[in-house]
Amino acid sequence: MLVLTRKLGEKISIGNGIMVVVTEIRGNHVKLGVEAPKEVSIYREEVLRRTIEENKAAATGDLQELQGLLDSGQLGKLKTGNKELNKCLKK
Amino acid sequence: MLEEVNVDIERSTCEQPEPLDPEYCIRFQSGILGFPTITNYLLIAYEEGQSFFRLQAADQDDLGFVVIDPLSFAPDYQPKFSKSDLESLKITDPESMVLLAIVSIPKDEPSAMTANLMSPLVINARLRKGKQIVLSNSEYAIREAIIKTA
Repeated sequence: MLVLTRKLGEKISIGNGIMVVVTEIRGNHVKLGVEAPKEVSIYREEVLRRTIEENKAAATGDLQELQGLLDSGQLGKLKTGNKELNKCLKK
Repeated sequence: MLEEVNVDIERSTCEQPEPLDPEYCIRFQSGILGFPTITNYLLIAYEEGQSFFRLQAADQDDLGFVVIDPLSFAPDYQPKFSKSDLESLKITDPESMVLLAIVSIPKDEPSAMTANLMSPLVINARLRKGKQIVLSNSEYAIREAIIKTA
């Protein structure tokens, strides 16, 4: 891993058009500003990791659990009123 | 009665040009987080009016997600998206935006199912373009209970 020492207000340039600037240092907190092209997604690493883990746990080829709940009527009250959704549906 | 979910998918449905065919899939250009290479999905209703749907990978039968209209159980849900996120989906009119949340169903206790309100799927319904957007500064939970126990 490349490790660089930066002072408040100094920047790091990464690749094409990505700039990271140290905007605040307070105790053991560092605030960073990131400038990047629109198509580059920027996440707090732990937030991204949790989302990926949650997505992988949710991904399934199996619908049995939900079918059981739908059949039992426990979810019967959950209805959608979103008409736009219909435009996305496979008919 | 529950309709059987039919995942018999024609491979060609994602290649069709505009105007959009009803069979045309929803394109997640950057994939869903954790599945970056799988970009084309079909949204399949379980039952008319029901808030649960299946988001089925168009080219991979064994990959899919149960998703829910989050407003059906969290009516106050109002995530804020950045301008660049909305621009990337070409959403100019909030009316054309559809929000879905991915549902996690624990195998041992299905009724403890949760929805990810922190990282909703945002879809431009007119263009059928979608993106999973992580709300990094929001108070919304990654595991919000769908069935509220009083």
